[in-house]
Amino acid sequence: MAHRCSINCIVPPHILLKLLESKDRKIREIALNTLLASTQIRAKRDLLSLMPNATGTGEKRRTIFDAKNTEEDPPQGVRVRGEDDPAVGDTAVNEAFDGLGATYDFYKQQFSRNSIDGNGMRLDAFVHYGDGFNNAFWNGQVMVFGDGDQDLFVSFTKSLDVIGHELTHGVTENTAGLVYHKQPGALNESISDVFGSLVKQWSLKQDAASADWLIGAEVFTPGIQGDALRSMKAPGTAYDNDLIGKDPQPANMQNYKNLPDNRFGDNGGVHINSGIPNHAFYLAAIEIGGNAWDAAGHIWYETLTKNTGSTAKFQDFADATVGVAGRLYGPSSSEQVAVREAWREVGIDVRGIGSVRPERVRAASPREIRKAEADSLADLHAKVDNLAKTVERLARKVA
Amino acid sequence: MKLELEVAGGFAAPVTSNRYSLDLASLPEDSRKQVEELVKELLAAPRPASNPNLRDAMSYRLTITSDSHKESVEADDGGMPKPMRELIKLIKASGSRTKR
Repeated sequence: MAHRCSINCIVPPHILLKLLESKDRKIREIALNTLLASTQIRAKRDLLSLMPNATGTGEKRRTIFDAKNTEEDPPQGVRVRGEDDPAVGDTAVNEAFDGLGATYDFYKQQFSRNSIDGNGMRLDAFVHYGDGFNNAFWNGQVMVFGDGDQDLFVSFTKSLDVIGHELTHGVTENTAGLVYHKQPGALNESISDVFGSLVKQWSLKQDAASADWLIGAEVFTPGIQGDALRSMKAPGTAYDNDLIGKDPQPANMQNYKNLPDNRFGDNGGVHINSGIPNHAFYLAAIEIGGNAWDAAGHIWYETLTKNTGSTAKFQDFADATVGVAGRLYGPSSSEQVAVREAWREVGIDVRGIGSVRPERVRAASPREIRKAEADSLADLHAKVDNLAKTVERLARKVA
Repeated sequence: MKLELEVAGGFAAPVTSNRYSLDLASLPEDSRKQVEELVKELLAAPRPASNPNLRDAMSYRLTITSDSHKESVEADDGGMPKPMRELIKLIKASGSRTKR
């Protein structure tokens, strides 16, 4: 991953102290925030070094917390089940625990990957987050699951592929680092759907032909007419009814949706246009046959972890998968032909032998670099905010 | 005063993307006062920071319109100020919904 460096790394404290005397309120604020951030980061580093459980353990280590319907930032909760604990009387807790375990085992056994970061990072999840919360998300450190409002949705822990999806966001963050905007963002989402689905198929011992290729098939309440949230087999057909509308996912580049690249445009349709690479994976896996996690899964995993840059577009990723297929299974092998054909069917032509080298990934434009820098700064602010809240909470406890 | 809420994104993005609106004139006096207090509290609080590491989080834009003023506050799952959470709950319970 690219090294991130903010103002904290380069402005010495004595200059920041001087800036605190500035007549310009904005400059004083920035200096103060920067000083606080630096201090809190150092404190966090010191704290983490004293807490072995907060760092990687080198083995599977799951901890489930009950948020007790709160919505704190960062999530707060009571520890209800740890790695060596037996099942408890709370279904959502056990589902999250088992789902994290299945996902960890899948990555370990199929790809020799030790957890999210490849280094045994602990897996923490919060269940019962919020009140009737209709979502599951990854906050960069932990997975968070809502209970659903019981009108549209039940608990998001019900679908194993949802758990695999969220954990895979952590894997992507630690490997390709695909930015969460437009095509790279839709690839990010698609990777999570692909590996979420593979976790389910692997767990159920289903081959590609017998899998349902649905994402979130278990999260609708019985009253909602719909198969699932997304279909990799047939994007755009997962649901269609008056209450929730029609599944808008395209299956082909011809129907790619150009949406605004902001929060309210789903960051350029990351959950919508993911239908295109999702369908390409499905087509490749079906054509190759057998278990989707074998050849197709390995091609996608190898591409994600070694051959994809953070701003990769569909074409970049398609080129890389064809290149990886050729390297793993041989040029013009049936696997490589299947992958090339799958992309062609969704409207992306891969010519030649594809690409297996990260150098092929397009360099970021100055605008993208500025955006990435702004994101890094916002990221740092968010982490400091979280830390400040934790310190405040601990201080209250100590008091 | 009128409150408009836009919800977008999330794991189930297209399903959960909705717009809601609530005209305070339609509320009984007690509830109206409660909402006005929450609005005052929200607008006085620092704006929520966004976390670029969030994946699948839902985003919320709450727009408050009065005779002389219009202001919006945006936040994501995992980073919402308490008064905003309370207001969203009220709008969803008492307001009208349209699909985005």
